[in-house]
This record gives sequence, structure tokens and C-alpha cells, in this order.
Amino acid sequence: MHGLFQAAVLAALVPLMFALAIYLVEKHSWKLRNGLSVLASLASFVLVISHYKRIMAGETILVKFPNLLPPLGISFRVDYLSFLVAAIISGIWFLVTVYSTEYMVKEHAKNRYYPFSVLTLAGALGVVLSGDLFTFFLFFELMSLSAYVLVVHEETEQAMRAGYKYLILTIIGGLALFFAIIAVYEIAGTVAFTPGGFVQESGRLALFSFIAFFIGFGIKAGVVPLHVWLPEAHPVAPSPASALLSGLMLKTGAYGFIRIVFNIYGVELIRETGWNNMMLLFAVVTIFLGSAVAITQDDIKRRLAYSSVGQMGYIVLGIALLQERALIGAIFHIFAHALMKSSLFLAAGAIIYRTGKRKVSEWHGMGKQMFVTMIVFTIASISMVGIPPLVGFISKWEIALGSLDAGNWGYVLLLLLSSLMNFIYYFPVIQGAFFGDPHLHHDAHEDKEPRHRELPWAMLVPMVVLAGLIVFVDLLPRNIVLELAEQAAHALFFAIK
Amino acid sequence: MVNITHTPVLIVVLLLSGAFVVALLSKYLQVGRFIFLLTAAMVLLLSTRLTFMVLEYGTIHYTLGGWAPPFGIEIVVDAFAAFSSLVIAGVSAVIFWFAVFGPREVNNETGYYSLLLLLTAAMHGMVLTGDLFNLFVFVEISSLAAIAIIAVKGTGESIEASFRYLVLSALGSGVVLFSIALIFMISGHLNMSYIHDALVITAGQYPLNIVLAVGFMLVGFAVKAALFPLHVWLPDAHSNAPTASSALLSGLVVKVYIIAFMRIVYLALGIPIFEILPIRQIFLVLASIAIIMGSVFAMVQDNIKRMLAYSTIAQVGYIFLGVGLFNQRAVEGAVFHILNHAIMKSLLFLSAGVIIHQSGHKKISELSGLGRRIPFTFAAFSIGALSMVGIPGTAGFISKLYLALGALDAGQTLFAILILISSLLNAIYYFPIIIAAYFGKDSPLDARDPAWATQLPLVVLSLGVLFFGLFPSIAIPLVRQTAQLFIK
Amino acid sequence: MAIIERLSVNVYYLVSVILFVIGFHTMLTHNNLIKKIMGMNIMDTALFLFFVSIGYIRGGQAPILINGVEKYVNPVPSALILTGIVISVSFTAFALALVIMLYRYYGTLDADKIIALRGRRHG
Repeated sequence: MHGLFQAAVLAALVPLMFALAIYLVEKHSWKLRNGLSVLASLASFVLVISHYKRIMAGETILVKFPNLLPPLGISFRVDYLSFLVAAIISGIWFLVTVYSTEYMVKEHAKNRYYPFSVLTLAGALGVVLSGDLFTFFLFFELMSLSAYVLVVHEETEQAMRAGYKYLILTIIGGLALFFAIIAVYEIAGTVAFTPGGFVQESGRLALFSFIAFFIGFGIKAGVVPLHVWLPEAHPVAPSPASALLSGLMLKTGAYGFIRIVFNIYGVELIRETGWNNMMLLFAVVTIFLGSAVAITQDDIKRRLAYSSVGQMGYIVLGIALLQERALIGAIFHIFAHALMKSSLFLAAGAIIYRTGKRKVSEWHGMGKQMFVTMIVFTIASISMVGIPPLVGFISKWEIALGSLDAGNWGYVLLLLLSSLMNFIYYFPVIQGAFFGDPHLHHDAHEDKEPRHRELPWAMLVPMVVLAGLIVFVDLLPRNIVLELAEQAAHALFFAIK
Repeated sequence: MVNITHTPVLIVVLLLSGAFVVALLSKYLQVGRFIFLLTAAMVLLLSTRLTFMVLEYGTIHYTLGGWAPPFGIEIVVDAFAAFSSLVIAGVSAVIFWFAVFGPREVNNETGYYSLLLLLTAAMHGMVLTGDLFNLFVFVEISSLAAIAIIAVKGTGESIEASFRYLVLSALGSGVVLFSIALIFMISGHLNMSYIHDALVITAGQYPLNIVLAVGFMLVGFAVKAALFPLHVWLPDAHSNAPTASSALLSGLVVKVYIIAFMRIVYLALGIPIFEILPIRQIFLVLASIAIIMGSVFAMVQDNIKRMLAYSTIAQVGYIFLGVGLFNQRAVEGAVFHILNHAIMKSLLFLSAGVIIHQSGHKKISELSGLGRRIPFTFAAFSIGALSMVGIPGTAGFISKLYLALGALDAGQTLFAILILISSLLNAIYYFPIIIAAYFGKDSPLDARDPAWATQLPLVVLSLGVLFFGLFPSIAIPLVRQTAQLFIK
Repeated sequence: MAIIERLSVNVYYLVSVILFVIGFHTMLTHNNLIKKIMGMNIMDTALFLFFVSIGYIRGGQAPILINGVEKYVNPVPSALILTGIVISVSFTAFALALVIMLYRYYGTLDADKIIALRGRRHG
């Protein structure tokens, strides 16, 4: 069979085709446009999931096109890690797209939003399904640049400013990655992801490339101090786009970190050179600052965005500890945080959609008006704080175990402190919504407004599904995601060179 | 039936006679246009055939009038010449189409077409010839024609710009001739390969001659190719010319001088001079300055065509950088960039010309919101701009990739970083235009996309940018052979 | 004395270099457009002289095969310079045409004034 028609490749290419198809039909029928957008994410989800049997059997699927774009070539690869992350991305993308078909009704320029959303999906999937750094980079740029259109969708002055910041940092990040990749190519003559890594020397160029990788992925993942674009860009985007950006796109940065540490440089080299200490340092600062600043934000979406910064710190910490259990935690947190943050953004978006209230202080009494939405928000928040048996707990638990394996109590304390801070910034929201006085901030005429109705099903169902996953993933007899994360971490650590 | 071996000379002859015939047809405009385009199409065919011949049989030697070298003029079609000829033929054909079907900017149409053909003939001649003096003649023809296609617009600024270009160009030609004389003095030949053989023996005895010759040659061609400190004529000339001329000048003419220079330095003078003069280091330094300063100047321009012109100065630096790094990948990158920049800069100039014509504005600050009014043309402009920044999937990325890899191969990390900084600078001045056009406040203008015939060249060039960005493999055999010519 | 002797041998080169510098200088520093063109012509002439003198051999004859003549002048440079003169003439003609048009637009032949006028029109 020709390489082009393998599911691994198709999963990344199908959304591209869909983006083109949407562009062509959208002028004639908005129904077809919305339908195709939903179908694009569903189709790629199905294509990714179709690997399930082979992946569980321990197989690694490789598809190579060495003659495309020489001298580096294009290749695709599906192993435990990429299967898991691709499934998460396409699955949640599907739910968010369903949600957006209703949410975007009130917005302008929908004909621009949908094709670019699907294009971003193509990029994100390509990133995680790529088999080498070069392919990774190509899709990474596609994703980052298409996402720009989602960020500036509102076209307000604020959005344009945030978008410009995002764009310039994206380009800087892209150039840093580009440099890192050609440097690796120069050192080793290949850029393919190889179990156990292949960079042998730790010379100056290798260090430069590692720093460049750190800058490139750090900008994408929002590692402090490279996060500056994130709290600006995520809140100004339409809410479903925020959910995609915060819940999924950041993860490609974390995914990149995992790939370079384990499949490019290899654990031994990183441990020998102590480069992970650099990551650890920034991870600690990120966790602490992200959570601390989130407390001070009144705009709900900005609060969520800063929370994302802190949460990405967990993932980077889990990777940088270089312990198997910590890595399991990090990989699982990719899943957990994707679920939690997208449900939070969708819920916040739903409230903004109905009431236009972006400020936390205005949400008093919201629990009575939009009960289901607030329940979703509450579940996700509790999970963020890390209360068992919700998904947020598992990742923290594993990362904590990992840091104990590394013999360092400090990180456990940091995790606890961060959980406490999460509690501090999520709890008042919930408390205000359910038990606050709805009349506290209302003007006289607003009081006469009828109670806000609940949402159309297209918005409600995705949120409920996400909340359901948060609750039930660990309650089911088999936690498949955790199993996959364990397998992935095991494969990354104990690769036969 | 034309003998297959006459193809190289036929290209030049066809263009010259085309220029002659078209100039006479001012009364029969339609016929003139038809012959004009027909000539371009035939040249493209011949050039393609030539390329395939070179790929199949290797370098072709053709002696004019049957006079054998060293006395007769020899045409040497190696991979580089075939490649350059194909680029010139392809891009100029597209630009010619635009000149015919695009906005009217000149009064004497057939005269303009004649000049365009003459210029193209000279460019083909420059890359194909193996004789130094013959090359000089073509340099002069191309200079004259290039100046003329600026002045043909007939406005005060364009004539003033073209006169300034003429003065500097004449200076450049003067020193090039001086340099040729100096080379002739110590080698006794004008045929490039004979010069090379002679210089291997005699160069060491006359270091002063070599230093002067190379120095003059560098100055002369640097003026014509607008290498940084000698670029002063370019922004005015390229921004005041008619659109088709700007595209041709920025996309091809500037580069053809570089090609000619590369041929002289590497093929005719060759190894002996590298031992006497640190010419590669000079290239690297000048190229670095050009790359940074060109972008810095481009950033502060408000006139869109001037901005594109300054951007060309920076891009010329890329090519010199690749040549100066002098390893397989870097030279491949430079050669790729000759092709890629020809396509993307013509695309940018043509679409900018259409935008200016349709909207009546030429200032970047006035283009806000026009992306919605003239979506098609702006899409073409955006593709060109993305390519200039070097976004993956566009042709510009490929040149960036090869040049950066070449810089690392040469152990010069600094230059790899320089290329990346330049990409960032490009992004800083190209992206705001696109952003303002698509997301800026709505334009009150009632501008629309032009007719399909005007858009066709934009489509072809946009597809070219994407095609060579995604499938550069198709050009690899030629590019690789070219690089091997240099890195013997 | 040796210097003078060497100079007398290379007198053509010396003269052509001096002429070249004069032409170059005139072209770059004079504001008058006509003088610039004259400078260009002087520079070209210098180059022609230089090129032709490369091929000249003292006491050599024109390169026509006659019995008894041993020394010939190299004909190639002279032949080339014929082409060079043609190019120079066409350049001059073209430049003069441009100058006429410039004079029509700006009413002056002074390069600085033209730039000033242009600036005022577009200021």
C-alpha cells in the first residue's frame, strides 16, 4: 500500500483536505460548513483510534517519505505517546467543534473561523504524528500560524495587540526550533525520533540546540518567562478557540519536550550534562508564578489562562525529573489538563455567551441561573485542585511519586502549595456562583431580566461529556489512558538503542 | 528542422529578432503583442529543451560561426547556465504576460515590449556565454535595456531614477571593462576556461593584477547587483518603474549579474585567486551587512514598492552569503534562492502593482482593510510575503533551510543565526501589511480584483512559490550539479 | 632614471589611468548632468586606450601576413574596442536623451536642484 494512504498520514492530511472543502462550500451553505468542520475532527479521531489494536500490541507504525523535501525528508510515526496525544487532541477537538457550531452563531466572520480551526487541527495532529523533528516543525508552524487567525478573531484592538505579540513570539519560537533542528542534523546527520536518543556529544552546538529547543517549545508551552503571549492571547480568542489553544495547543510544546529529551538527546545524555536542571528551574518558577498570578485576575478567562501557565509547569516538571513515574504523571497530565481546561473554558464561554459577564465578581448567583454549566465548571475546578478520584489527582500523584523517586521532597511541597493556590483561585468562583448574592453587582434594570436559560444541546453535551470523563476515567474498571501513559513512559525510558 | 545543437544560440537570436520585429509593429498592436508573447513562449520551450539536453548529455559547448576557441566565441551551457536560462525564460514569460494584460502604464507599448525582449536576450546571453568580452557586451545591453524600461514610464521621478541608475551603471561597466583588460593582460585569453588554465600558471606572478582585477570586478558587479553599500540606485529605480519592469528588474536582472559574477569568479578565475585574495570573506562580510541593513531600511519604508526594493537588497545578500560560505549545501541554497527569489519577488511586485492600480494607494499605511476588497490579489501577495519570511511550505523556506544548513556545515553558526534574524526582520515588515489588510479597519475604497487575464500571472507565480516549497526535489538535479561545478 | 624609463615604456597605461581617474571624478562629483556624461566618455576613452595598448607591441606591424614581418600587434583588443566604442556611443546617446527629458520636466540640468524639486513635489 502506498505510504500516503496509511491511517497515520491520513489523520494529519484529512483535516487539510477538509479545510479546503470547507473553504469551497462555506459561501453556499453554512450547514454544510458546520457539518464538515465537525466531520473533519471526527474523521481524524476515527483514523487515530483505528491504530488502537496495533498500538496495544506494542507495534510502532512508521511511514517515511525521504524524497519529499530533501535533505531531511518527511516521516510519520505512531507509538504509544503519539497515539495517546493524537487521540486526546482529535477527540477533544471534535467536542469543542460541536460546541462551537452553536457558540459561534453570535460571532462574525464564521467563514474564516471554521477553515482555520480545521487547519489548526491538521497542524496539531501532524505535530504529534510526525516521525522526525523536521516534519514536526512543518506541522508546528502550520498549527501556530493558523492559530493566529483564531486568536485575532474578534478583531478588537486588544485582540490585534495580543495577536501581534503571539505572532512575533511564534515566529521567534519557530526560528529557534528551526535552528535547533538543523543543529541536531549537523551534529548527528538525522532528525528522526529514535528510541533512546541519538545525540552522542554534548558540545557547544548540542547545548545551543538544546537551549533553542527550550526556547521554541517553551514559548509554545508557556514556560515562564516565555509565557508573555499566553495570558493575552487566550482570553481574547472566542471561547471554543481558547479551549483549543489552552487545552490542546499548549500540549504540543510539552509533547515536543518529551520527544527531544527521550528521542533526540536521550535520558543518559541529559542526565550526564544536567540540562534537565535548566528545565526544572523554569518549571518551578512557572508553577509558582502561574498559580500566583492567576489569583489576582478578575477576568475569568485571564484567570484560566494563567492557570494554564501553572499547569504546564507540572508537565515540564514531570518531564524534567527524568523519572518514569514522573513522566507517567506528565503524560497523564497532558490528558487531564486538556480535559479540565477545555471544560473550564467551555463553561466560562457558555456563561459569557448567555450573560456577557467575563468578570468573576459578576458571577454571583450564576449557579442558580445556569446550573449544569456551573456544575461542569465545579467538577473541573475540583479536579484542578487535585482531589481524588478526579483525573487531576492522578497526574499530581504520579508526579509527586516521581519526585520522591528522584529523592527530592521540595517538589512535593511545591505541588501541594500549587494545589492550595489552585483552590484559592477556583473556590471563590464556585462559592460566589452557588451561594453568592445575585443582586450584588446588578443594576436596577438588569434585575428585571428573566432568568438565564440553560444552553442549547450542542453546547451542553460536549461540556457534560468532558465533565463526565473527568469524573469517570479513574472510576471505570480499566483506566486505559493511564495504562497508555504507563506504556508510553516505559517505552521512552527503556528503549533498546 | 532546426539542428538540435543550435538551441543555445537560438534562444538569444530569437529574442533579439523578436525585439526587432516587435518594435516595428507599433501600428499593429495586436500582432506585436502576439509576437511578443510567442517569442517568450518559444524561448521557454527552447530553454526547457536545453535543460533536458544538459541533464542528459552534460555540458554543451557551442562555437559561434564555427570558429573554434580560443579565438571564436564559445557558448558553454553547463548545469548552472541551463538552470539560469530556464529561470529567466520561465519568470520572464509570466512577467511578459502581465506586461500585456496588466494595467497600462506606458505609452509606447510595442517599444516597451521590444525593450523587454532585448533585456531578456541580454540576460540569456550573459548566463550562456563562455567568453568574457561577449559577456561584457551583454552586460552593457542589459544595462541599457534595464535603464530604458524604467524611464519608459515617463514620469519625472522615473527618468531621474533611471539617469542615476545610468550613471552608476556606466561606472560599473567601466570598472568591469578595466578588470577584463587586466585579466586579458596576464592570461592572454578571453575564453573563460582558457583564462582559468592560463591563470593557474601565471596568477602567482602577477598578484597585483589579480587583486585589482577581482576588486574592480567586484565593485562593478556589486553596483549592478546592488550589493549593500553600492545599492543606492536600486530603491528609486525599482520603485518608480512600471510594475512589469520592477518585477523583471528585482526578480531577474539583479540576479543575472550575480550569476555572471559567480561564473567569472569561480569558473574563470577559480582557485588561484582564493590564495591571493580573501574574496570569500569579503563576500560574507558584505552579504551579512546587506542582509541586515536591507531589512532595516525596508522596515521604515511606507511606500510598498520601495519596501520591496529594499527587501531585494537584503535577498541579494542571501545569495552572496551562500556563495561566500562555499560548500555544497550553501551553494545549493544560493542557487535555489536565485530561483525562489525570482519567483517570489516577481509575485510580490506584480501583486503590489495590481493593488496600487486597483486601490490608487501606494502607501502601506493606506492599505488597511483592502484584503477584503481585493481578496485574490492580496492572497497572492500574502503567499509571496510568507515565502519571504520563510514559512515552511513556501519556496523561501527551502532556500533558508539550505543556506542555514550550509552555514552550519561550514562551522559558521553565526551566519545560521544571521539568516534566522533576517527571517524575523522580514516577518516584522511583511506581516503587518497582511494583518492590516485582512483584519484592519475596513477600507472605504471601492476596489476590486482585476480581470482574470491580469490575475493569471499571479496565480502561476503563487503556485510556483508553493510548488517549489513543497516539491523542491524537482530542481535538485540541476541545483546539485551547479553546486558541484563550483565545488570542484 | 629607472623610474622614468619604466614610465616611458608604460606611458599608455599611465595616461589611461590618469584619464580614468579624471573621468571617474567628473562623473561622481559634478552636478551638471551634461558634465557627468562627458566624464563617462572620458572614462570610456581611458579604458579603450588601456585595452588597445595591452595588445600593442613597440615596432609591431598590423597583423597582415607579409613576408619579412616578424612582429605583429595583437589584433584582438582593437577588434574588441570597436565594439566597446559602439556601446559607449549608444550609452551616450541614451543618456543625452534622458537629460533632454529631465530638462523638460524640471527645467534645470543641476542634479541637486532636480532632487530638491522632486522632494518639493512629493513632500
